[in-house]
Amino acid sequence: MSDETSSGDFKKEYSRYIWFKLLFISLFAIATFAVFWVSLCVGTRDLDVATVFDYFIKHLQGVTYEPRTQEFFDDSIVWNYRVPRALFGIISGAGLAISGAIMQSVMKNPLADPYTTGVSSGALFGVAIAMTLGFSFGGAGLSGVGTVANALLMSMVPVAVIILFSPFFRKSPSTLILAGVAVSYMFNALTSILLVATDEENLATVYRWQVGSFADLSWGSLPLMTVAVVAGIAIILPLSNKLNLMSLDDKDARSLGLNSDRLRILCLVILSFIAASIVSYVGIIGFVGLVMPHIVRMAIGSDNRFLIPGSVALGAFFLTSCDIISRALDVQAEVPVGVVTSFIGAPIFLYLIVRQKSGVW
Amino acid sequence: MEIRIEDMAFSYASDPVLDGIRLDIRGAQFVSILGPNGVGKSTLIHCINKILDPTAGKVFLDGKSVKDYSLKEMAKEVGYVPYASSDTFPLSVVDTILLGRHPHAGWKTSDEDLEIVYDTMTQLGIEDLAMRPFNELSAGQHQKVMLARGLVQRPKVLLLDEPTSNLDIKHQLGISRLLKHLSHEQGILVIMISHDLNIASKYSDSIILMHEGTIFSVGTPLQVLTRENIRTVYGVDSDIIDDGGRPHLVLKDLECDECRPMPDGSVCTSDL
Repeated sequence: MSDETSSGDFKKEYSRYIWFKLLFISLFAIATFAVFWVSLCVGTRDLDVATVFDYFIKHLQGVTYEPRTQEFFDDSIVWNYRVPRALFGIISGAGLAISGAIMQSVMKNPLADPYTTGVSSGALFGVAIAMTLGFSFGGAGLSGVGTVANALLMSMVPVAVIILFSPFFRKSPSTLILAGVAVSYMFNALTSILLVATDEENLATVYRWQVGSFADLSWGSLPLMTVAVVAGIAIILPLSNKLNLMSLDDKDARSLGLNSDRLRILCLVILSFIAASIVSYVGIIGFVGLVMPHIVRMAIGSDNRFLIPGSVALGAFFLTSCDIISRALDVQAEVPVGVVTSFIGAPIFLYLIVRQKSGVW
Repeated sequence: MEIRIEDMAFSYASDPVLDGIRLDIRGAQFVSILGPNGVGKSTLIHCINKILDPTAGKVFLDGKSVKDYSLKEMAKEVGYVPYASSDTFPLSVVDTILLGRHPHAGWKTSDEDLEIVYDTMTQLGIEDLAMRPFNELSAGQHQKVMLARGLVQRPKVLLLDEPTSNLDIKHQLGISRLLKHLSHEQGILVIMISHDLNIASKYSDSIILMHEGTIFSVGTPLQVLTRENIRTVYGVDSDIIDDGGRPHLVLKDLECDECRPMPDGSVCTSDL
């Protein structure tokens, strides 16, 4: 066989290798589209897919219904409650998974997740301030908006502290993780001081937020998070080939033309903003950011050019599916989605770890 | 291709590592850097390819100061093969080698990139490993993949930090022979750090011998690898025999005054 033929065979094999990755991403993108419609059917009012599709399209066409009719209530349920909630599941799942994938790559650490820099501890402190002291930033009040404002602002404090102090220490992954741990402990201590002195009702509210829940979401919850996630993906995807170099030693990456320190800080800012925008509305949803990127790595490898869109697709599919399950389990009480993600995801992940033959980590 | 270093020094905080380094290397040749542990060999090559910035003096690449190169421009001129590569999230072999195309390539892998990678893998005899995970390879295969990553940078200068350290003698000879071939056939200036004096002597066109953060001697293997130089730099006695016009070292056992009167048969380690 000539060299030219062998080279051609190699290119074909590489092409198949790439197509497999694209197929994986496409399958989960389609699956996410499917669960979006299923999500619109699940709840106290039982509706089939054809009916919700009909309401959805008619609403887009501007069709309105006579108040207090069944159609009026069904349209309201679908459009005002279920559509924003399903979209929230898709966007927050995508956002948490991409944040986890980036954090693991830039920190070179399989245990890193979107909260590694202390985003969640800052947000929790913000919520605790609102609940226990009755204080909200900007005088937004103690309604949902005030609590969200507190959580969002305080969640950005840890990453701001890390970036402000970064000129004074080495910006190696280990140093940044340790700085994040230090800031988290400080916020956790402050939160504990507030919580030990508060009443049972406030404690329960803070705890529910800590577990992560999709209850009480509306259209108003979507814009900030959507902008953060979409802008984050738009910035990170073109940088994903550089993220591959980040998994090397910083010296090796530098020898291949990359200043790892700068890219690491840029990524931290982007992913912290994504995580903060999600955590402020729904609380701390664990597992998605930590584990979805690993499942994608097992399936299609660690090339960030495919890992990032793969994590977006799988994260969106997984979190939306978990929300459906949380509502299907108990329509009235609604098991918090954060509990479902861990309950379903952990056994699946354990099974994949046991089955794993080739080296992913 | 020319590398010129003028009065270069490098320190970590207040710890001086290199001092008064002057060097002029020209043309496509195979150069070995030798010297004891901690003498500053790796630091020297890190200062050449801008991984580290010298604390004093200048490094020139083809007459242009390395300070005036961007990291990407430098990566197009100088390839680097590290001692070991971290693999927290290992890629496939082909993707690992493709990382070497980063200075030249865009986001998408082009046909040209794939051709360069395939040609290099074929040259090193590792084309069958293309789709294997990098972390499942043997030490020898691992080293060849790292070398391939450096070569696909299509550099004018290739720096290697102990590329044969984990290899058996057959692979050590094979890689060293290949590096010499590459320097002569492809016109690359290859600079390799090594601890194997005899392999360096057998294949190198020039040798740089380092001692206490300075360059102790530069020249052909015959000029540099003398009994006196080895005694001074390594503190080891040796006999030098001729091996086809190149020096071959036969090392003698360590001896010191404390060793001789040890009646209990224990081994003296005072020189270590």
